[in-house]
Amino acid sequence: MSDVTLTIDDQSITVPEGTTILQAAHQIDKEIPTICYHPHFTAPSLCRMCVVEVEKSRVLVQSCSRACENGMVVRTDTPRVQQARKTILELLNSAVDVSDAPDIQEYMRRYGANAQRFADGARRELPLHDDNPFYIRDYSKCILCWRCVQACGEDVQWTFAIHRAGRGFETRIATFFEKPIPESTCVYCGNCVQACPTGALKAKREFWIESGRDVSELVRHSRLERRRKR
Amino acid sequence: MFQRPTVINNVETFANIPFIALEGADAYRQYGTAKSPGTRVVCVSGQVKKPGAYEIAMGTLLREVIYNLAGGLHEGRTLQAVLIGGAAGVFLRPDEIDIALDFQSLAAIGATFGSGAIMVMDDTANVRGVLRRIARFFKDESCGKCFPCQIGTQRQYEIITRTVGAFHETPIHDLGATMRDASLCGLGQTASSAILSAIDKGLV
Repeated sequence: MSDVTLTIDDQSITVPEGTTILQAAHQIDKEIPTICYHPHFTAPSLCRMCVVEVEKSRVLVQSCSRACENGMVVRTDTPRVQQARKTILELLNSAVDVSDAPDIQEYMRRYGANAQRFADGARRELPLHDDNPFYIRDYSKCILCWRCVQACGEDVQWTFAIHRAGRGFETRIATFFEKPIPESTCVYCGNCVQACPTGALKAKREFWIESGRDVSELVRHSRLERRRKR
Repeated sequence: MFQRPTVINNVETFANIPFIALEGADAYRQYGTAKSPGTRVVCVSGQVKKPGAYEIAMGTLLREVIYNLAGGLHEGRTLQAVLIGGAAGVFLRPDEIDIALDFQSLAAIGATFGSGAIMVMDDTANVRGVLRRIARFFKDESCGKCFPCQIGTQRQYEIITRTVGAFHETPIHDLGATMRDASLCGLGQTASSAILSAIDKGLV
């Protein structure tokens, strides 16, 4: 494989062919914000937070999945890029409860996102799913980053218990036919819970501790349930 | 083709090939302009006497298409606006219709041929209502994958529906620019095009 040379924020860098702009930027200690990107997963390029300006490109370019090209001139933090990132954060905050997402909170401070903007629009408020002994699903906190779908599917577990359902603003993550988790193919590996950046998926124990409930109850609760099943 | 169902994309391009194959490229090039050779089918709809699909030589004036081919406006009406390029196109003011319909001239005023749709609105048309329909179309058609379009098309629809007066105090420009710059595909990238052009040209 050959190398390609490009410029990132006026700094010249040579990387192996196939390196993404994001990876190249990391090599020269440039930080580019990401939300949906996870280093171990296929980049879904959905959050668009990592967009950068590439000379001669009509629109901004997602750095997480676009490969570096020879002679590319990349700028990672122009006013146009900052404007897009700020508005994306404002949109997210207006639709979803991101209070449990520390990275997004930090980005909102950094980009000066106005939490009240778009505040009068529709929100995605969905009932909490508490249908299995191990984790809860609170899709009012789900930003649809797809990490759980990827962890459940081709990037980690190959279980395919969850996928996206619906479209547009009504898109959500769901089991097939919206069945409860115990009726799905879920094997309770916990990879989706690990991957969730916003607290939409949470270990049941953690959820109980946070809501001030007695965790010993949880243990008794599940023992009782097991006995009943026998 | 080969006795199987066949997708033809794009029909217009395929339809041009037999003429070029039979008559030669030079015969095709005698129509249109030097940089935009050949013909294009445009679909004129809205408040004209003879709406329909017309094959025009590239470079034909928009005024000629509306007033000659499509028969002009109904009696006693005046032109309010023309939407060119479909839902993802741009609005033109009445003083902009002396534009030549070829790729270069349209690009120079920030417009595109798009689907070849030309929607004519006279003084009785409700442009705000048209904007609402366009915004609803993009909200319904957004697949919901990338964040700017998934939430942005919903917010754009809400702003268009809710705003009674001027739009300058709404975040619609920031929203539109973000969808255009950062969306994953062409749908989100053009979802604000017609709406912002109508607002910027004072049509609403």
